[in-house]
Parts: sequence; C-alpha cells; structure tokens
Amino acid sequence: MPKIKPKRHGVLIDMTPLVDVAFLLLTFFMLTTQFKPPEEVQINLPSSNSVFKLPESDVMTLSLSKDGRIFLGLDSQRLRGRLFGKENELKAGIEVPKEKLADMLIQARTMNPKLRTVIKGDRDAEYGIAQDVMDILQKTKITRFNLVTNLKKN
Amino acid sequence: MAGVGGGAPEPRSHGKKKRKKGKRIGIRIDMTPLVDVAFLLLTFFMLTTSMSRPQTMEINLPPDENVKVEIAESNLITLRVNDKGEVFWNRGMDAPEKMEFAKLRGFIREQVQSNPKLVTLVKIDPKAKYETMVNIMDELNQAEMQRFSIARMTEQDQTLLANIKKG
Repeated sequence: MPKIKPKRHGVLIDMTPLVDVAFLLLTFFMLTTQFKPPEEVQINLPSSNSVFKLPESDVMTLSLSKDGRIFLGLDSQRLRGRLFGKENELKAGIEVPKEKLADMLIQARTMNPKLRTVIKGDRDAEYGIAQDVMDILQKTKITRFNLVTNLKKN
Repeated sequence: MAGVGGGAPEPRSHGKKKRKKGKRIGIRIDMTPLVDVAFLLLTFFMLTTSMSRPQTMEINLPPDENVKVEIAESNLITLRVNDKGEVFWNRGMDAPEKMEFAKLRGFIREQVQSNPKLVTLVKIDPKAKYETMVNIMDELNQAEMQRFSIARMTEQDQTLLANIKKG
C-alpha cells in the first residue's frame, strides 16, 4: 500500500548569532578563569558580616588547619619557587613549623614587600594557634592583616 | 539599448548605472559541531569559575607590644571567653558575669553610646575555637566598637572563670 509521506520541509536556522554569543562568553570565561593549585588542607571558613574583599594579588596566606598545623601559601608561583624550593613550586602552600614561621615570613616580605598577610583559619581550629600566629606576626612587624571569612547569611 | 538585462524594466535598480554582479554561490557550513564544542567548553569554564572572592576582616595590631596604654577602670570592659565559648563580661575590676552571645551586640552598642571612650579587652581561652574569636570580633565591629584589643588569657583568668561556674 502506498503511504502518503508528509512533505519534509528543510528548516535551516541561522546559528551565527548563537555561535557569536557562545564564543564571546567562552573567551570571557577562559580569560577570567584562574586555576588554583590544589589546597593542602581543607579549611572550613568561619562566617562574619565583614564586607572587605580579599585583595587579588600579592597575598600571603597563613592557613590554620583543624588539627593545629600551619601552612604558608603564596599566590605567585615565582615567589613560591624561590621561597619553598623548586619542587614545591606547584603546591599552594607548605607546612611550616611554628618556630620557623617568623623566618619564613621575613624572607617572604623581603622578596616582595608588597605582600599582604591573610589568615585563613578553620572554624574548628583552636584559638591558641591563632593567638601564637598573631604573636609571631606582631614580632615580625606585620601589624596589619586580614582574616578570611565567609559572608554570614542572615 | 541592446542589452539583454537592460531591456527589461527593473523596478529596484537605482539610476541608470549598470553593474556587473558576480555570481553568488551560497556556501552553507554546518556549524553544529562547532557550536557543540563551544558550548561544551563554555559550560566547563562557567562551572569551574568561582566569581566571588572571599570576605575578609581587617585587623591592626599595635606596632610595639611593649607600649603600655593607661586606661581608666571605668572605661574598660573585659570580655572573657572560656574554652566552651561562653562569654563573660566585667567592667574594670568587677566580678565577671555571664552573658548570652546573642545579647552581646546590643549590650556593647549601648555601652559605646553611653561612653565613647570605652575600650574593650578580649581574652579568649586558647582551647576555645577560632570561630569564637571571629564571632566576637564580628560582633564588636557590628556594634561599632572600634577600639578593642586582644590579650592572652592568664591562668588567673581561667581560675576566675572556673570559680564563677561553681558559684
């Protein structure tokens, strides 16, 4: 039996504007993305109502982990290579014993005087470690620093 | 006028100039795979990008730790936090009293408004959580308490707090 075939209309959609927009967004996201080196420890940030933003560059991060270890991190790979040695260049930060922290801080500050110090403490870390770190900072004449927090949701 | 094209009346032609038109060949490229790849990359970058930078709280320490600042007793409020995160306050040398954390902001704000010279001293037990310190400092900032300092908790403070709990 002959079937009646429905006539097929070739529908052609001009996809050029779509592609334009897609590529625009693609280039935007590609250029704005910064790949972070993997973090050494997982840190759950405490939250606060503070609205200061973290500076984008020249940041020296002191991470305080839940189990009381201190990690020193720098955002520039070049500086990390010079301070931590070539083999640790790609790590976000290295563990630093409390006694050596002051020396490391002074070295880092002499390599780049513009460094801004940031403390990133785990919310369940003991306050004693934070206190020790702040004492070390004061002794190394870093009297202005920031604490990283999440924005509190009310 | 002997031209073939020229003979026929063309309503759309402007003027009398004749142009030779190159033959247009419609080239259609199937852009679907291109768009597929573009969108794939787009979604990848969109999902991996984190737009928001974290918030920070700024702290300024006094440059020299050996400088002593004399403060009148009536202008000093001490906040002590024990290892369980409970807050105790006292003015000058009075005995510490327990305070609910939720009431802290309102209390400090009242105190600052009645006495702008007020200074807060915060003493936190080393076994308390780091979050407690951030919370306390956040509350002080919210209460517009600009001048506060952090001091180490001595054993004397710890026994003081322990005695309140018993009493």
